[in-house]
Amino acid sequence: MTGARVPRVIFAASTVLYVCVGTLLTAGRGYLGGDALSRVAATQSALFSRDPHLSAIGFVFTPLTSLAQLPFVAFEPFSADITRWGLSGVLMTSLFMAGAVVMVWGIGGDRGAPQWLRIVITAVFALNPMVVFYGGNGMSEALFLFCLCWAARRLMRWVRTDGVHDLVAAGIALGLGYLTRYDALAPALAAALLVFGLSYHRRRAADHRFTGAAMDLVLVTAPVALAFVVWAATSWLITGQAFQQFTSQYGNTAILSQSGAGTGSPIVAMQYSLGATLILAPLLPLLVPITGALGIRRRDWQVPVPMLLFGSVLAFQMLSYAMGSTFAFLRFYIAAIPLAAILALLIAPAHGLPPTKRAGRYADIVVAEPAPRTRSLRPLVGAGLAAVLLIATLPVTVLGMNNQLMAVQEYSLEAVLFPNPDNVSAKYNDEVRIAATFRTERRLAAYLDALDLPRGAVVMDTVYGFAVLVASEKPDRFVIPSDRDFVRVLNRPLDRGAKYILAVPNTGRGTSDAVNRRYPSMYENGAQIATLELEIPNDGAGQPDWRLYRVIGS
Amino acid sequence: MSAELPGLATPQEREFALRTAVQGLRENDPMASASVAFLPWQRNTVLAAVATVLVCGVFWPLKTLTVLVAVCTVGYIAVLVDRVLIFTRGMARDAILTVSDEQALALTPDELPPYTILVPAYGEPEVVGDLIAALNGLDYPRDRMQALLLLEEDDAPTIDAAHAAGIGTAGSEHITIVLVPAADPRTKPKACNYGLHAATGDIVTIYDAEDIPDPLQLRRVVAAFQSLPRSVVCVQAKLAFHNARQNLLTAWFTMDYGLWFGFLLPGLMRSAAPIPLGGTSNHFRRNVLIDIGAWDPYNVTEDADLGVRIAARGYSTAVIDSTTLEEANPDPINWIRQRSRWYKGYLQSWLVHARRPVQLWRKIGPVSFLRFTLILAGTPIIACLNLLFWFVTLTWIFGQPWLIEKLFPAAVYFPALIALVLGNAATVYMNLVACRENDRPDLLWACLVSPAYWLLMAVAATKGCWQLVRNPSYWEKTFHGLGTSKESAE
Repeated sequence: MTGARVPRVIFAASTVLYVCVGTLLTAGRGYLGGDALSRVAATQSALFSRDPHLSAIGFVFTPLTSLAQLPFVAFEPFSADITRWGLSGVLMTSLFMAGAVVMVWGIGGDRGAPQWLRIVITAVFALNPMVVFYGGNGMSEALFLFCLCWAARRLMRWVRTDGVHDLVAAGIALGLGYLTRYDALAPALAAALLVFGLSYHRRRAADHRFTGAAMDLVLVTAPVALAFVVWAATSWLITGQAFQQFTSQYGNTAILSQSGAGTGSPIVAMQYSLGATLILAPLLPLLVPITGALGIRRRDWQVPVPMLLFGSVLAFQMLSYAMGSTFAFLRFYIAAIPLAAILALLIAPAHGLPPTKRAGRYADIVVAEPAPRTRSLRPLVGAGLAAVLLIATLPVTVLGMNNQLMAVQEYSLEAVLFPNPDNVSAKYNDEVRIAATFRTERRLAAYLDALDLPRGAVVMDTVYGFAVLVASEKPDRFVIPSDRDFVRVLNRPLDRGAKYILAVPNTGRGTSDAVNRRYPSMYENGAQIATLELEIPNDGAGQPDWRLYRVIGS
Repeated sequence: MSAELPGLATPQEREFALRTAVQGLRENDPMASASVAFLPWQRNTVLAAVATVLVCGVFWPLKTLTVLVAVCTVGYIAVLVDRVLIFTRGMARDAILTVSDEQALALTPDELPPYTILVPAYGEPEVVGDLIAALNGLDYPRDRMQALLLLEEDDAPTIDAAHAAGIGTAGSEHITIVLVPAADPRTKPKACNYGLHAATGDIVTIYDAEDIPDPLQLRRVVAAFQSLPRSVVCVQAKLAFHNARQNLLTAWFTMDYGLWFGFLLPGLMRSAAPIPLGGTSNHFRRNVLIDIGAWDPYNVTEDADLGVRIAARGYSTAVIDSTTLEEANPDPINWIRQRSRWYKGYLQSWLVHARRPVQLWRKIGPVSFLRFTLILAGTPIIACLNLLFWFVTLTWIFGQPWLIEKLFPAAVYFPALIALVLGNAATVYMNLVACRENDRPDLLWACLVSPAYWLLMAVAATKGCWQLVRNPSYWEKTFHGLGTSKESAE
């Protein structure tokens, strides 16, 4: 196989793997992630709701996870399964996670690492159970990892080549990363410090030392700054709030207080964060000091790049969890996995210069390499050992992902993958309930579909209702908050042709439900405008019992 | 003095030279001359288009405006995408032609052909003296270098200054003063055409009197011509400014030139597209230059026009990594005047070469044809429209009037928004990248505030377009003035 074809084969193979696993879990076993499904719902609203418009994608979460699904959701009219089972998300994340795998492969190539080491490390990364799961479940992790790995790869090149192409690509990767997850501000800051520091150091004998370093800093941060400003400005122009994540009734800040998820003491939070990192990358405590020491001895500026980029993401998560502003989710520490893989690659010394279209003035000068025989074998043995250990510690990740305390969002995979009706433990029962999440909503959607209602007949909020929306054959039957006449319909449902109101209990996250905010007693008694038609108890975890109210007079 | 020069020795020769300088292109190839701005069919097409828009505007005002906005948006995106594409091509290290110092100095004396340098100057007594130093700085055998200082016959101050500086006397005997007979149009291309009659070099180049060329530039060009195919008949050197730090305007101008000559022109060269030449430091094979009609004295950007004509005749231009330093225009009013002339000239050149669109399309190919349109017509028109669309954006942000919402249905709105945000950002970013690669990080602030520079560009473009549309008689007047001078010359 020629050099250019290998990445394509890796990309295709990983995509197929993730698509298969993702489809098996979703369409095959009915196991859907809430966040993934709500992004599908947002994308669907932009295209096929009663009032299709792009800003229906919403401004609470950054838009890329939804936007990247647009081309796939566009095929929804041909098969509602695309959204019902979140398949658009599965396909999208598979492509991006496969992209991340190619980046890890490429980092090895840029560094001139031996072929066997590249193959082993790339495979260990690609087959990590956490990577496989998030490669096919439609969550933002795959995009985010892709952006991080891309940025790391190009910055590691820039360290050697001083090439402006690398700086620009790293900046764009970080900018897209910001449009995927707000966490990307941390690696952007880390990249800014690294680029400015190294650039300033390099220019010690040059004119314009400060502005030269500042120019590099601006080039690498400008895309992130643009993404930040444009996203905040668009949100402000359309919704009146620049940072809905923090200020909206639907944002994380609100969800945290609604769901009463307190972390307790910062020490406990820190313990969780360290535990999560170790579950995903048990070798990090070994790899960081070893590569750090090697980096100092070799004066290898490539080493700090992954440490800073991925490390800053981990540090940011630890800090925000300790401050009680985020959740105890294992997936928030997924950056530890590529970090370990890349550090293992860095144990082997660099050979040659990475490819560059335009090496900068401060590019490394490659000295003639010593003959292979005189080359020390010790680093290669070390890298090989690290690779073996990476494989050997994969079971730690598997066990961790099955732990109810550490992996709230993953441990139910056991019940999905290995159903065992004889298991009666409390944990297994919980797993079954989680695995059944959204089953009720699908049945509810099927029931409403069977009523064959006209457009705009059912009013609901998408806080919980998104799951009904994606499962429905005709999403335009629902009046949802992104419709520009939502408030008018909610105020006078009868006059505006609405027949039903879907209500959830006015507690917990239900308090943010627009129906409850307008009619606080809707769920209890129909708020004197509707009569109870049907109550739908929920057999999924964390989902409310629904009540379908019929508008009086309709 | 002129009298000693071969092509301009006798009064008859001088009269012939003047006539061909002014009328040559117009008589031999009227379709290539900008002496008439619009051909009848071009004018009729424009008028018909305007009439159609007006009629539609009366009957369906909103729809017409929406369609116009959509067309503009498509134009914006096309120009933008093409610009970024050209830039990325120009970013490759080997996009620009590089001749190392060693290669340039390795040329033996008998490999160096006779070289003619034309230096047109008009009303510039203060800079003409610097010329000696600049030309003496060139590393080229004196006996093969012919420098012609082209002065207007009635421009006494500059002529006196040139004599006072000792041009033509010992130490600068390779420089000859050529007095161009006073006749309209008083343009640089006319003076160059006139001087070309006395040129003896195999290669001809133009410098301005205040230029400071790279000392090895002529040798580099000779080496380049040696290595390039015969179809390459012009080598354009990079232009830059020595007074970048004088004020913000000169900083912007330096940034602008850095992007244009350092990356966009090399990108155009890689794309095999017509290259609008810069005003100076373009080196031609003399026989081909004469053969294709030399400079058009009626075109206000004769350089850009010649660049396209070179491509239209099946030849090509290379861009070489050798810098000529010029003085940037530090005065905003003056700058706007100069830039509006360029924009007008770009449109003029586009109109000239689009007179036989099918023929040009066949000759240079569809991609190059589109690219030539996007560069020559797109640049000034977009700069003009910017003014309008910035205004629309501001109105929308502050007032959100219903009219603007109606004008931008989703299919227009999102492309327009992308063009606005990514277009502006990409342009600033390209300037930043270019400054970094040109080793001018000190222009960082100028790059970051460059949107204010576009405001100046927009004003200049509006002025240029207005002049072209509103005042086509401007050229007719020139033409009449010329007629009388021709008569008097006879």
